[in-house]
Amino acid sequence: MTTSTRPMQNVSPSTISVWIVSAITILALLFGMDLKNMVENQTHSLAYAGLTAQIPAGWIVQKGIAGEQTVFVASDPFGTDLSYTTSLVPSSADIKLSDLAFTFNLQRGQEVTLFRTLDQSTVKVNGNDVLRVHYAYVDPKSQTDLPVVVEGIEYIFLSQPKALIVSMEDETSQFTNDLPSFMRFLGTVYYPAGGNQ
Amino acid sequence: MSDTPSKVTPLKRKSLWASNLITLVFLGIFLLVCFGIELLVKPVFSPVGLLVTGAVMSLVPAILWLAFFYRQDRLEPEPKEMVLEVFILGGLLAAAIGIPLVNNLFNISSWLFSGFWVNLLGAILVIGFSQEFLKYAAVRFSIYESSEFDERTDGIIYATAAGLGFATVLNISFVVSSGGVNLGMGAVRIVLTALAQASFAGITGYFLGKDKLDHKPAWWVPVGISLAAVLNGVFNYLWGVLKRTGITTTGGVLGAWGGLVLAILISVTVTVILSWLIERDMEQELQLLGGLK
Repeated sequence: MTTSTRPMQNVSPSTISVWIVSAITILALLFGMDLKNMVENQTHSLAYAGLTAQIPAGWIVQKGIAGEQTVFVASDPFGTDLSYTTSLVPSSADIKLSDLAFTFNLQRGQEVTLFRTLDQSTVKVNGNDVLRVHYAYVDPKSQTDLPVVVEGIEYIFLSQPKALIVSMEDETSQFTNDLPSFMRFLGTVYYPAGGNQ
Repeated sequence: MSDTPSKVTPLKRKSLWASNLITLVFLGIFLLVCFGIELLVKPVFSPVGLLVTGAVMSLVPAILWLAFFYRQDRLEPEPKEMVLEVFILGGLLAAAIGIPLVNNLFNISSWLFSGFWVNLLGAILVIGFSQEFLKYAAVRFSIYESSEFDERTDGIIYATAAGLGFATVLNISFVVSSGGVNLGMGAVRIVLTALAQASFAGITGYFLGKDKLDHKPAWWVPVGISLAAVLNGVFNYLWGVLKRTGITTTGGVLGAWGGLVLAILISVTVTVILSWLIERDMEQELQLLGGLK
């Protein structure tokens, strides 16, 4: 009994306090991570024009923009450039994903400054072939002296009579951080006329 | 130490007040110069110019505050190179762990401002505890075990140095990431951030100093860090409210001065309490020295 308790007796209160401080900090950060997950998973349902999605709580939603092609734009009130956009555009059996992407890229190239397509590839989302377009441009609304680069990612779901486009745009410095939340949002978008997604 | 305590203390205290006043005057001049440049020149920065401006703007208040806290320890001033080492260590920990942890791993800008309780709790749990732990680590795992750490006051001096190093890197990061700030309001933010980081670290330092010299129980330092983390969190909550409604990253002032006043009040109150604690500990040391004679 004496031999088993001896090592503990050698540990000074100062060393124990280091352990306690470390434990408290780790616990605080774990609770902080829980809080973050709780807030990020808070959503509210949005149904509009036959499309439903789970929007992050507290976001500003604008419905029906640009001749009803844009179903809604949800934007983070505290993220300068962070927004999710869903659109429904006319489609038919002879239209290819790449045709749609070409049209959108051309349109953006005329509307914004220094538009660049960074990557364009076909991916599987819920078993569907979907075109993913990664792009960037210079924010024309930037209030700062230096130009702000906006990065965007767009998923194009081909279906008839309308194709569904779900995209995220964000300031380039925050893009990677905000991408996982967008992917969760993408999983909640449901458009019956467009198939599974 | 040929002077008796009763002779040395009042004279030095008077000169300390004068030098503290000079520090505050220099900080005032720094703010006026920044506001003046912004009003008269309206500078546009190149990327390198921005980095240099950020570094200069962040270092000037840090050095002034460092001098302010360093001078409080007039009984046996700490070696300047050791204070500088802890300052640099604080900065390195901020750059290597503090900023990436809060901005990247926790990505606080995407969720922290969702409501009062989330904002306050998140600020305390994530920002408060992570920052205060790193400043604590900068002292506890470096100078704490050294023979130079031989007064209760030393904890405050070294911890404020770590806090100021931490603040300097936070401020450089702020200037660079915001792509150039309004110099005037940016300077207010920088001065206040430096004071806040120093004073909250000073709380931990006070508990560390007592722990080493008075052999306090194991719960003593954790209580100190928790107190510093809560104050840091409350300060960041007020600062966050201010950022969202008033002083933006581009520095435009739109209102919400209440948050700024409260944030200043917290930092200044903690600084005054720390100065008083240093004063009290030195009086005790002097009495002890007098008793020994």
